[in-house]
Amino acid sequence: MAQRESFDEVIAAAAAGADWAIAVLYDDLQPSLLAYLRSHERAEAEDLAAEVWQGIGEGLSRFEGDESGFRAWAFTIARHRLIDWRRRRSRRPGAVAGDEHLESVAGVEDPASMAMAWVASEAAVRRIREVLPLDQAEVIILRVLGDLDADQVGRILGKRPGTIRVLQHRALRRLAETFSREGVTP
Amino acid sequence: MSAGDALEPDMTRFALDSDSVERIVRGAVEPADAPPGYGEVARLLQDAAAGARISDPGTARAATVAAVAEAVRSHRALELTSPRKSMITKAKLAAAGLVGALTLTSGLAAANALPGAAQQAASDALAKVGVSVPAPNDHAGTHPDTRGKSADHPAGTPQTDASNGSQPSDNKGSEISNLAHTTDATGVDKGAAISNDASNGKSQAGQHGPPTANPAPNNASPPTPASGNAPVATPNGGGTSTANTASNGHSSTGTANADQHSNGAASAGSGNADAHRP
Repeated sequence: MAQRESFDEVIAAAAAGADWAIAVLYDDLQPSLLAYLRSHERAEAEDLAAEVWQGIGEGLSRFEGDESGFRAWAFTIARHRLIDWRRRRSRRPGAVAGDEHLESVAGVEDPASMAMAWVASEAAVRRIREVLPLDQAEVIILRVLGDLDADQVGRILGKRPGTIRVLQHRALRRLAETFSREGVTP
Repeated sequence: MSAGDALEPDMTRFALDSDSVERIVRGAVEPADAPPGYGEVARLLQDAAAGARISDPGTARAATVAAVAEAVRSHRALELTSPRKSMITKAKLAAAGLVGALTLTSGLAAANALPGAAQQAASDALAKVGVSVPAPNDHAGTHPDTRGKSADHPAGTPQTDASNGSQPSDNKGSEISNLAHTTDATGVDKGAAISNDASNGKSQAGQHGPPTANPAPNNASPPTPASGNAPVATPNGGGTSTANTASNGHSSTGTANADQHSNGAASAGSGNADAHRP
């Protein structure tokens, strides 16, 4: 968090309902949160993110911890919302993913480069999910998009940190072997 | 070439230490600087991470922040009232616990399944509110409702009777020792009494003649306990003649020797003993 205020000041103000403090937290967390949700449910990511923020708002006054702890807590909520949403979806026809999110970059300074970065990111995440088993992919996605360490990912997924390290090691090796077989030049 | 042979070079080629794994995952390794075989992996992860750094252009930002602020404030308001709610909840839980405990106790009392004292107390208490449950001795019939007390049995006293042959007493040895020290019987009678007590009445000691524990070394004839009789008529008037008869004359010889070696003092002793006989 690059703001002048310390995280403790921000979180205390946010817990009291200060709009400015909540906006600081939102600006810091929303991009990675949205990228993570989009990696799972591209079409529903925006709505899921809104649900996650609602959950953050409901529990913020009881939150205790530092900045990395806040990030891990937010991703834990995000994961739970994903699971809830998939449970609901299983009872109704599936939604088709679209490119609606690209429309939102139209108003930014350099929409072309941002759109390119966005597309490249989504392609990379898609590749990770294609190549890796579910558990390895989830570890890599949470670590890379969530900017979380192995311990935090372990708490979110209910696994030991050592297990997370083993999974990420296997994931990288599998990706390297796949690229080698496909003839991709490093 | 087997599948194992094909995998072996890959295992060596893609070997990666944990520190390198950590640095690649954190995006701290440029693709060009990555370990052999991992350049494209590093690039892939960097591309993926870039998506998490793209700011939300803000269509939903203001609305989301406002909604979160509202959620925070409403939940704070709820929590400010929570102490009262908490007290009410605690009171409800306590009441529920009390009702549960009373129900359980009453049920056990009705089933006469409580310990005696508790059953009596429950019976008395419930009788006051018009509920009839059995007292602890309702099923005792004519048997007294008395309980054994440990005070009735002094410490160290065994609970089983050794004389009934059911269980040996824990302090049988001390009983026998006590008998040996306190009985008025002597000799064979004393041994028989002790033996009888030790064997719970099974011993026949003393019923078949005198003991022959120390036969003469050269006496080849076996003891004759079956006869049950001494070799002389007993009692007789003179111990010396009896001893003489019983020892085939050795006793008299011994007396003479004793007299000889005591310069007549032995005979004098006998005379003195005769003089003081009651």
